[in-house]
Amino acid sequence: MTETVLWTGCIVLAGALGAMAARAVRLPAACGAMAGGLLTSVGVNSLGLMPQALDLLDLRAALVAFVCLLAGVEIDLTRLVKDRRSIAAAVGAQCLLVGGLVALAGLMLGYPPRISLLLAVCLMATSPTALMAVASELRASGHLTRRLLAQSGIGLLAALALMHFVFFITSPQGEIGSFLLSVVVGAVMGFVILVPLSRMSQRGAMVTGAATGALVLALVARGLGPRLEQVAAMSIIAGFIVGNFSSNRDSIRDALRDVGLPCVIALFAVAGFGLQAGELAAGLGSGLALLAARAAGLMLAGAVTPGGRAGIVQGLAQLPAAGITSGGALAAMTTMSLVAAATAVPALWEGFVVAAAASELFGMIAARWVLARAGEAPLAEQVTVR
Amino acid sequence: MSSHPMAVAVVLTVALVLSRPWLEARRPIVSLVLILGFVLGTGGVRWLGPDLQAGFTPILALATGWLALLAAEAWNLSTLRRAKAGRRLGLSLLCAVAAAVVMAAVARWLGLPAPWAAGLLLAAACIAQDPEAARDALSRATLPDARARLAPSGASVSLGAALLFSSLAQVPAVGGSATTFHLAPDATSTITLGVLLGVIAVLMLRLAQGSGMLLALLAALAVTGCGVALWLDLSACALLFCAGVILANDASRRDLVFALLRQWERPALCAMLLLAGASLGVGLAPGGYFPAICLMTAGVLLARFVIFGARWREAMALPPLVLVLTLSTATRPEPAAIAMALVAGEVILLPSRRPR
Repeated sequence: MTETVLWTGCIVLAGALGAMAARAVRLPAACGAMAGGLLTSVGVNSLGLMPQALDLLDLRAALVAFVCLLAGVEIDLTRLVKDRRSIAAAVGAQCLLVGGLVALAGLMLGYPPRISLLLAVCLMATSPTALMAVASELRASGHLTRRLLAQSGIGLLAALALMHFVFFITSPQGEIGSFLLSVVVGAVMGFVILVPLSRMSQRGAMVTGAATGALVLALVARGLGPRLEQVAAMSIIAGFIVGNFSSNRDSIRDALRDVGLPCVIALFAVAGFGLQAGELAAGLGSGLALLAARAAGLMLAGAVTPGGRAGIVQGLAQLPAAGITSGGALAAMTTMSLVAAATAVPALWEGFVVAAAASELFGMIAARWVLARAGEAPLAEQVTVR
Repeated sequence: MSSHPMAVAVVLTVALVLSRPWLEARRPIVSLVLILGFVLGTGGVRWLGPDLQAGFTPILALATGWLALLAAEAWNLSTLRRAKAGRRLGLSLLCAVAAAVVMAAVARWLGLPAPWAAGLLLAAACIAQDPEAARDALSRATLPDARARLAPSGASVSLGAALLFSSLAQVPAVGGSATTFHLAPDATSTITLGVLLGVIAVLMLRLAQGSGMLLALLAALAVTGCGVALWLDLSACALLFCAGVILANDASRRDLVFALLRQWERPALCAMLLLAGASLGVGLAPGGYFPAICLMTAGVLLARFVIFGARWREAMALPPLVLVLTLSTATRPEPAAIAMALVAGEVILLPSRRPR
């Protein structure tokens, strides 16, 4: 445990330095954080210093829970109801088109049908943590931000349900039950967190309540099994309840936004550290192909969806240029962690959230651009402490 | 942590559920956490038993270290001059040395092992006050504004001195045969590394842009410092306090840095108090320490009245229960345990109207 604390500090420090460097070249901080974590991993491995007993799963689960809770808090029910048709259409189109194209690409690359299906399900979701990274960094909280977060949150939940369904039809061992359990636990915990938070007025107390709730969610998910995707699902649902049924929801959102970026940086740094550079490099070609299929699916989904076409298509149209000039190779390598995980299916569970978040590097760059274009986030961040 | 995740989850959920009625009763939420820790810990139903607590030691060290980092805010040279904290610090140290001598004498009289080291630890406990508790107590006392403003700074100074003091001594479990009393090497290493970490932090923070990035860097540096301290078997609390002193004297971003650190003060305090409560009851007044505790309680209160000229609220900021808690946790050779016991006692006994 002592060793874990020391390594955690080093990894997050590398991530923070990477984030600063990314900021300097006007990239999202999360890209730099992940690169910092990855470089630390490569450096430690090459020097032979990698500790044998380093277990970052608990930390990663807690960070995923907190960031997903923040993402859930940002989803506005009023907007969600108002835009339900366009959001449902966007999610449906994204699931269908991305899933179909990635599954096809997987089959063409020679993966077995079951693995191809799982890859498709994994890649069809947009990562709310990635979008939260952008929104938190830019302090964006406008209509488009909330719409994107709602879309990505629902998309992730849909993908998780589908993933459980795929597992159920391929090896029927009660996977649907565990997904429903996640939903119920997330809803209950949302109300448990909501009750004290509604009574609090200080920002520090709100952060404490939310952090405690996130920790509980991570621990419950850990108790149910080492599955990060359950943490994500439960936390988004809990955050959604906290962010919509509280009497002082605006204060809660403001308080949590202030602490969002450090958690995002830590999450992406730890995710970057977890990537195995050697394995990733070996499958770079497959990763790029899968990523291309996913990008094509996202663009098609944006094009056929009436509500989200304007912003999303513009943003996604920037993908090739942004990818070449920034984190393209890194994103492809990250996607490969999913491929590597898929070759040993039990590891898929652990790799899912990391890969889903990490493979959003392209999307994050696009989202940053889209949000700036929509006038919801000034690119020059203001230094404010409230 | 991973051995009993559901037990900890249940504990935290209960804390969340109970926090609303607790707040409505106008009690500080941190006291609920402490009491809950005690009920569920070694002294209660043992859901948070010693095996689980051992896994939480780094988290405890990190939480206390974060608070120590914050406590260093008052160790700014200009603030110290303005608050005349030097005089207060001198008196605190004098009081602590006297307490240590008396404690050691009593311990020797009772035939207890490790009297001098135990005395040092107690002395460290005696001089410490929680700045937040002092601020809260003084907000209700009829003190002139100027004094009420300065008192928390004085409390921070005394807490910092206590952290350094306690890092000087390492005591084996009471009842153990060996008496280790490391003074210079550990203290020198702790202070050197702390100062080094502080200088690195100052340099890095000057490069960072934006409050989120600053907080991320601060958190990373704090965790790294804590990890280094644990790895080298030093006091994480004292090391981070030294780093905090350097940060407190860097004029460029001092206010911003400490405002950011304060955002995570309450989670750190709650984590610390939950574990403090859970660890209580292991060695409550072990080995005939109880007479010594009573004696020292009277002595410390008297010293506070006589030496400091304190009003009753200030004097009671170190109540008898604190000494019981301190001795209970001092059986574990961790300065962090002392600090947490101090805060624990103050939190329990201080009345309501703490910030929520």
